[in-house]
Amino acid sequence: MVNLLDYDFMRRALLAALLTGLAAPAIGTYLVQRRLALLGDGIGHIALTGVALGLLTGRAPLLTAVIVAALGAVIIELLRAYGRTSGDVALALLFYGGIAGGVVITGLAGESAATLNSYLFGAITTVSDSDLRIVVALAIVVLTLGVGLAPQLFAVCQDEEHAEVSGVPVRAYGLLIAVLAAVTVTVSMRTVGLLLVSALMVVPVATAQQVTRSFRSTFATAMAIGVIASVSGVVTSFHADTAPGPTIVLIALAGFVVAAPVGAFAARHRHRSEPFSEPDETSVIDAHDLSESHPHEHGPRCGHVAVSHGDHVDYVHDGHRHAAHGSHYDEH
Amino acid sequence: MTALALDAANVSITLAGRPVVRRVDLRVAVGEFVTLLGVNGSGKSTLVRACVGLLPLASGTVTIFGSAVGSLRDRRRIGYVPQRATASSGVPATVDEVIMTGRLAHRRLAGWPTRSDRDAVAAALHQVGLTERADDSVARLSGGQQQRVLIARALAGGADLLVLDEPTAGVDAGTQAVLASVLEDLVAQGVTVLLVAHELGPLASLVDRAVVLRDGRVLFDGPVPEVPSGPESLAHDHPHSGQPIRAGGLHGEGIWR
Repeated sequence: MVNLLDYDFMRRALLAALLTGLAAPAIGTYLVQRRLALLGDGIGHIALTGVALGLLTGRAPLLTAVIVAALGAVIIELLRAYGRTSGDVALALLFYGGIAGGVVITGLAGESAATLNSYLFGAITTVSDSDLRIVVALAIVVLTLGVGLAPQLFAVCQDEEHAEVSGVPVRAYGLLIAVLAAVTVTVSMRTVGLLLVSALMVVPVATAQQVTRSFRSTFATAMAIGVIASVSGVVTSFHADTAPGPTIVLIALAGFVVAAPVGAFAARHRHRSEPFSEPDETSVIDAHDLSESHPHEHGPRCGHVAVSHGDHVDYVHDGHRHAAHGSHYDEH
Repeated sequence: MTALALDAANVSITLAGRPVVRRVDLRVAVGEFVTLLGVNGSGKSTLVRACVGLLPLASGTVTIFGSAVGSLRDRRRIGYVPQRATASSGVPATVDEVIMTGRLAHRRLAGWPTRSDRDAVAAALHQVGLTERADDSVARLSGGQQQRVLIARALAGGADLLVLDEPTAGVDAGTQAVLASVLEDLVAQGVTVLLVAHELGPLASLVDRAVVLRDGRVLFDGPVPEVPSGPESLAHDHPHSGQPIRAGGLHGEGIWR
């Protein structure tokens, strides 16, 4: 059997895959928690314009992509936070602008569609030493902040308003998450490509939450799944001679297909073991205490204090409340 | 003069160009339990959201424990229960994890929760009767239990001023009773409470003062009308006099309508 580690390009590819597999689900967990699962996709499209600018100006596409993607992410977050437009519309606007700009500028740079393809679908085996250095540095930044600030980021993504009242600068953290997402997209660009990067951010999280019940375990499991999918994807693609990026994504999706029925089974099992949950809202609605008959009908002039109660009016009646119900009054 | 926990003076709030709260004064003394009542759209939620600093004021000032709300440094002093149907988000989280976010104002930027953080969370869990569910995913709890999680999160911070935005909306009788007993304990400890509600139910006996809003203005500010309810009220063999129970501002068209 061929030893993969004998090849320089495979060593670089495996290290890039390992870091991407860790970083993408880490930030992806926060995006899924904020219900912004498709943000990575939008940023990926914007990053394409950044890549094209790099090709046009002769600078490293990885660096121009990270700058343009971060700018795009900040704009999306500001549009979302300040309510100028809804999050998904903000995303869509930049989505289209990014991909159209990328294709036009790549054309102006005189580059072929093949060059563009290597960024759209990844080209992990062509990662150079200088690419790798940038990937390692950015991934370390993403992981340090994503893990180190977990209590704050979790609180902001869980309940923005509560976090704000607690004194957490939620706008700043929102921008941080957006920028970290942009950096992650760029880090993953060479591994799975800009069109598939969101899959590596979201699919491991979706898979993990089939079997987890805490945030901490979802976060850790998603990162483990990300690493397994990325590294095994690179190895598989080497042996099967398939494109590495799509192979990684298919392996991640296969994980979800396996985990979903396991999670459904576990949920059903839990339900069987505790079939009687605590009384819920229905118990209140079912309470139906009848009042005795009345010498008069309650109304605006009956002399009893009227109290608005949901969709009807109760009348305060010697220390309790009466609500008209057909021919009788209920105690409320 | 009594010290004020919350002093909202001449507050107006505009949302999307529409005036929602108009020149409202709301003062809550330290240790007082005030309820803010009104129908949907009366501006009560908007007013408390502005009081805790979530919405900008079009005019007026909000002062909490003597500091303008925007510049209040010690955020530990405010406990806030937002109006939310659920305590869950897009990713699973345990009851314990959600309540721990109530300790954020006490914690350093990075690092593990300290012993006092964990003790505060355990105490809050116990207060709302969810100790057994600490490691369960919040999404698996009933609506009423999730509301208790939100209340426990506010309790975990050990605030001096607790602001609750409709914690009783659509919850089961058990949760209402838990909330009443929790608030009774807090009042005994001298915690100030501002409660937004549609109806008071078992909380009515705790309330010192009711402020009723209508169309963004204060319609009534005074002692809460006595409206107890319960099974014991079924048996009442008294003559129906047809006389008003309370005279003055509470009679007639109904102040809460």
